[in-house]
Amino acid sequence: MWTESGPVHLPGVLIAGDGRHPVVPPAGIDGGVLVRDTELAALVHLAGNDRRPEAVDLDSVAGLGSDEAAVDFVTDRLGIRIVLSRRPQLAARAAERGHLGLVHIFAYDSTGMNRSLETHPHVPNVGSVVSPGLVIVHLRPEEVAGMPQPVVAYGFIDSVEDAAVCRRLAQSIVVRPGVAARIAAVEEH
Amino acid sequence: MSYSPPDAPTFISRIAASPCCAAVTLPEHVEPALASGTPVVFVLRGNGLTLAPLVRRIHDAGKLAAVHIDLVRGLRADRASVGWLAASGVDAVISSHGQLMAPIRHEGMTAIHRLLLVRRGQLDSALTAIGRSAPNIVEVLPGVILPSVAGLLPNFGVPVLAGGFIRTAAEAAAAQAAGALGVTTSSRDLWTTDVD
Repeated sequence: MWTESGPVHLPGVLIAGDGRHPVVPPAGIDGGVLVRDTELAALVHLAGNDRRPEAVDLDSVAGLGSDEAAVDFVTDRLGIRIVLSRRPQLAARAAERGHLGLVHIFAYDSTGMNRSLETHPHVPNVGSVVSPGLVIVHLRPEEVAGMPQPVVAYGFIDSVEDAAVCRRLAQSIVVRPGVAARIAAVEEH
Repeated sequence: MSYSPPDAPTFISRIAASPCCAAVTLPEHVEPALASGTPVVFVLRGNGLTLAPLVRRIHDAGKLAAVHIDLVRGLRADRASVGWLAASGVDAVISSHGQLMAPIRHEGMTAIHRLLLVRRGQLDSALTAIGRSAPNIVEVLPGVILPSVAGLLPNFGVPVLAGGFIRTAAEAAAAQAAGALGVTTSSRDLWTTDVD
């Protein structure tokens, strides 16, 4: 049983990995690892490493259920304290256990985004994942401000320039390892 | 006498001539849409079981009707509901379900496959689905990021529409510059705007 408690640190840059290839945040940025598009066994293996991933996209882990037992497993047993899911009740479960839950807000159009927000539990320690993340640049300030915090921008942030703009609007962004490396290189200079 | 929708090239030519199309999500949007210069009214909400009177009003206003089969209430997105929409006089059907494109075309309506941009890792499977479904039109959402992601998309071989968060003439123009034939928008200010 993993017993870490206290406030959860949400890294400013979450680097997406599939669990099959090693991902290490580059030096110089507040980075962490988000595991997604993987399998349950690979996730367990990763969590046993010295460098445990900070976050998991629960819905994209093959073999892992979409229920509260799955949340309890990744948080309490694997020690992954940031849980992304499109299911509000699962994000809320992570928060209940003292971790950070993040609900996917599907922002394809304004009507759909608002409907997605209506299902958000709006409880402490459950934030929002804007999907696709790049759209946050085009949202009105009040739309961003109205999202349950913290806000993570996830999807199609493929350039350093896009990353910089999204980071000004969201508490965290999700990028691929190559983009994270370029962000670190830019920040180093 | 039963209604025959225009063929897909005719439907597409209507949009090409006036590329800012009305996306109707609320009842109060209907009248402004009918009074506008939009060539096609995209019905994205409402009751799919009682659409026929609205479709007749759209036709009476000289416009074409496209209905999002996944979003209207009362219908399951399947072959039977495609037939229902055809019988209601609908000209085009939008769906994220690729398997519906063939039935939509079979009914003589224009088939619009929605491509939802979630993240890059899911793009390949979405593009494969579109390749299989052979729609008449691909609608990319959120269209406002089309200029940023156009380089990731293949040449679909059919026209592309951009929908979602397009609220200004500049955003509509940017989507067109990125390859979109037209845009669908709920911003009424754009419904009569020719961004060419």
